[in-house]
Amino acid sequence: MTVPHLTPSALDEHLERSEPFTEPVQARLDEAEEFPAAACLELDRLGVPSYYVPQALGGWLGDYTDLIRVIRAVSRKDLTVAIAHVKTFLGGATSWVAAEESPAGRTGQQARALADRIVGGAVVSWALTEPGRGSDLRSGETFAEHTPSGYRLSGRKWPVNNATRSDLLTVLARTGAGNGARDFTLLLVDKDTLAGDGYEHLPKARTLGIRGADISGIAFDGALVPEGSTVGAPGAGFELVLKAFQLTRTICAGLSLGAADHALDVTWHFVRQRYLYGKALRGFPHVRAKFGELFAARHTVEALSMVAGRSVHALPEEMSVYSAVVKALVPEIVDDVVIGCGELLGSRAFLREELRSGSFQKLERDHRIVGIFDGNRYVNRQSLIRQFPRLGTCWRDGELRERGLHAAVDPNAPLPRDGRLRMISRTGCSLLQALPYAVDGLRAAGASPAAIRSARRVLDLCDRMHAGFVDDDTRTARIGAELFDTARSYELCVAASAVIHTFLTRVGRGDTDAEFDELCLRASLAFVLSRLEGRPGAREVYGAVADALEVHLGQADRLPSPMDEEELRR
Amino acid sequence: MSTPNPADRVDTLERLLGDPEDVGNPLGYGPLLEADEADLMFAAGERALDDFGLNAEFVPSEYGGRLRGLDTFIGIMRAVYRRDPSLGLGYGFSSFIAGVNVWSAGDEDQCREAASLLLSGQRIAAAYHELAHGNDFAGTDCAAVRDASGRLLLSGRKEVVCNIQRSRALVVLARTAEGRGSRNHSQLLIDKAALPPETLVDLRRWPSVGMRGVQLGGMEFRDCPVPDSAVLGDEGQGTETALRSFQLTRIALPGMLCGVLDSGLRLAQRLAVERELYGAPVSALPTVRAQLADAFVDLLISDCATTVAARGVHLLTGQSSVHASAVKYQVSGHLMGAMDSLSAVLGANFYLREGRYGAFQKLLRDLKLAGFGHAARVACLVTMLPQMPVLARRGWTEGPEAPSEVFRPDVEVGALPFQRLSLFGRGRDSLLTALATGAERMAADGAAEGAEAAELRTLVGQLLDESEALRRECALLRPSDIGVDAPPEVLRLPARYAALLSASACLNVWLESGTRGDPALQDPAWLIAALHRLARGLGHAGVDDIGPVRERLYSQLAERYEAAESFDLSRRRLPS
Repeated sequence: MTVPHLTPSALDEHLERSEPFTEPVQARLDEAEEFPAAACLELDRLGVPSYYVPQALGGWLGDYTDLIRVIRAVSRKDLTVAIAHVKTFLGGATSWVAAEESPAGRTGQQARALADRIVGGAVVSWALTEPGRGSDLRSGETFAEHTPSGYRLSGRKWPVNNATRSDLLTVLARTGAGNGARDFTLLLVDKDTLAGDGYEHLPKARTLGIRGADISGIAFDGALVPEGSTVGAPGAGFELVLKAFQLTRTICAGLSLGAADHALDVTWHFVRQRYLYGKALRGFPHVRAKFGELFAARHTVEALSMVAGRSVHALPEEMSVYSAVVKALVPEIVDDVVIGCGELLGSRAFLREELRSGSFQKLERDHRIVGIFDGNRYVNRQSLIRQFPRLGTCWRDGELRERGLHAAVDPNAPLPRDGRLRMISRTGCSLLQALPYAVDGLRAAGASPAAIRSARRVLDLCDRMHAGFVDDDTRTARIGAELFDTARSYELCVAASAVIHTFLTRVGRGDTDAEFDELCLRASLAFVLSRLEGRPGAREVYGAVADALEVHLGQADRLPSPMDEEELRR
Repeated sequence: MSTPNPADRVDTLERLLGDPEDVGNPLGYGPLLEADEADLMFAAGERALDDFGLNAEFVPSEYGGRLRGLDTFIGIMRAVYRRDPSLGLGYGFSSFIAGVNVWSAGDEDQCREAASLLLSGQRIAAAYHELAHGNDFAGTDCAAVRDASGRLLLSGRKEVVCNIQRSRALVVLARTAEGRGSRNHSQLLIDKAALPPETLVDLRRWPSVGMRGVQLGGMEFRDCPVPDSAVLGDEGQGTETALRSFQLTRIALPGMLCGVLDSGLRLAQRLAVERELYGAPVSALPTVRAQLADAFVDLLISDCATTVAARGVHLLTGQSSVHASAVKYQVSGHLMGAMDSLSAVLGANFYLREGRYGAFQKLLRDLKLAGFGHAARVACLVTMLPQMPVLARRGWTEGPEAPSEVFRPDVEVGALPFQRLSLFGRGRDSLLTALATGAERMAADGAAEGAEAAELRTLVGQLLDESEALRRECALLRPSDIGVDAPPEVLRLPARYAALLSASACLNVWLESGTRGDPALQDPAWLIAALHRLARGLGHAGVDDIGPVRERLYSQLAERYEAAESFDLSRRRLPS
């Protein structure tokens, strides 16, 4: 096991002073659609790639919440850089899953070699998508023919992040003729060993945001990939990809959290110095309420991300649920946070050079990709809906993985690996199934009646929602539109449970601002309920949040964040 | 010279501009996206609009132009906006804004001057904005002060103003007295060519994320000597003129921007029928059909609301100030929400600035203007708020019934009553009261049958309950509640009003559609979906199962797509 030389907070501090991460530099590269090479090099130099490699393989990656923190730190400076750089974790993820399932032998060796390359700065890409096929991976036609000398690989992968800049690519290719899960194999393709033969790069796509990123493609034309390049067993490709998604979709939360941090920061500074109608903007009640609500939204997804990150170790068997919840909900809410900030910024959000070199309009465009790549909302909600019958049963049974849940929600608990990733969670969603106990816990912890009432409303909604989880037509491809609304409600309930659990682990500890924690609890529950019930609800609490934030920002230069605090407390 | 009727003019313009998706069309998405990439106005498009003589649409018929009905004007401009909103704004809408102020407050000479300038193909910039003050006109710093000899000298800066550099003339809002009062500013119509050039200094351009081609510039006035004849109306009347005139432009802007959603829907439906996912067209997925149907409903709500408000300017004299802010608020929300939702249908394709669907991201960026441009959404609420108490006490219970022509876009209205625009409706609001009268008529006519009639009754019942609750709450407002620093729950009141106003527009357009024999509009499916959407937005339950209605609407949308018809109320045949 290796000890990280670089904590997420140290990285964050370093980037504050790093020239390639300054806003004018970002703006210039974005306009010119130029790759942020200097910033990526800086991340390499600091050792960030070691966070993309599990500790068991010589990297720094233990608690996945730390990887979320690292990605968040980079994203709050520049989302384009984060997306360009973190792609290497995605490229490696299937190898980590494979090595965990069979650590010995060739698979383990291959993963260790890849780990060394990544720590040394190699860029690894993940080539799944094909032109015109979107998220339907099983319709892929890239074919790997097994020959005595290795695999002959042909087909086009596009659009793929870092397809051109990468040193290696993990490629999903068809090795069978059918549409079954066993018809696909993953190949770890090292461009060096191909020596320029049998492949060519496809041109960079022009995109709405992340304009500087290398969103391009690669076309293979009979490229010979050596025997022994498969990741895991032949035919295991599809399953490995789905399990790796459980990791990659979870850590995407860091991209959204960083974007939310950046947006809120720009907005707060703006409303503080902007005067309209003879008064500072921050003094208007509707502005305060809006800002408080936006903060509550971030608090909600932050709590969810913290628990989901730790669940990779604490509740791996349930990650099929948490990863889908995070990837469907977090980018969606943060897109709305960014839109809300934009409303407060007015024309400043529209001008490319105003207000900190136009960094807000850049992050708004950049963040739009987070909801799309690595499985969009539709795909994640579909995978959740397919688990509804099981989730309904588990809710009614009230079954819990208590030990794992405890480790997942308490940032200070030990974090042993407790099981392995599964395609489907047999025990449902312990985090949500523990909601009734958590609501009782609020009473015991002396939470305010308002908070307890809100939590009860979420609980009632959960009961009604789960009662409908019996339907078997969730297994067909033609899932009714209203089930997608139910999936969103489900995600919101899971987030509410994360908020309540996070509150409970902090209560009575003496080292947190108890009053502010309680305020965040009430505001987050109000936010979740407003979404669940489709009406704005009482907004007084948001104004109170803004008041507290103003006091806080008088002493600190950054909005309070439980995720940051818990790291610094270690 | 005889002016062809409005519908023919739209058809002419549509034909002239051609099918934007046709890759061989020199005025299509390909070339116009290139201009956008380069931050340039679409030159070929501007030439085509010159040929059409679009500027004449900005000039009232009494001054030799073709401007009469505001809804007609919106319809013509929508043909431009559905292709390139930058062209819509940058070719001309800013001239229209400036023009309206002249027609409202200018004397005969000023109106003739502005008309002849526009009719000769030149532009007038609307120079109101200063970055430091945004929507707060009372803060305007740019000042026109009399020197010792009594001459007006203009000094200060105007920033982020469309076409300020390439326009021939400007309408400038300038301070003519100290302080924050409402009578401290005047509007000046100035001809740049007639003034000493060293007193007019162009500032840099402000590049923007949407409408990239539009030239947002600025100007610094350095003791620029302005003749007294430049003042529009009386000195000190500038803010009032602007606010009166903006009633028209706040209705027109979202009305024109409906064209953006119309094109966004077409691109999304195109992907849905062209692309396959899981072995079937994307359109086979029920959730995709639902998203498309909902966006279609958003467009119909938006069109009903802006069309009715536009006709109200002509037919409900003096009532439009609150309607204008209401539709600006409500419609911008529907349009932006619908485009966001459609971006999910397009998936990764929405993110690409090239390829078959590459125009979508441009439309999405351009549409951002709807949120803050020409009064931010929250500024609209603040504008409406002071009128809520008096409307609640009088306007929503008594007052004149709206003539049925308000809800009949097929009937032409006369010339725009520029002089009769009023800042306060004096407690009259025939559009919201039409919700109740429409409901009575619906019950009496038996316009819908069976289950649909029951659903409509349910929905209208919920909306009438809401209307009654709103009336009670607004009647209790105290003067101290209704300022710019109103608390958020108080600002919700005009927002709720705006939704009810839209519901009233939809219901009555539907009721009147029977007289026109438009089978697509007579089918109550769209009305049920629209009222359901509005009721849900207000926190009501709506109907139990909107699924079948959505499916029917999706079929109607697919039919229109196949027939190359527009998705708005006009159901116009488009070039293809």
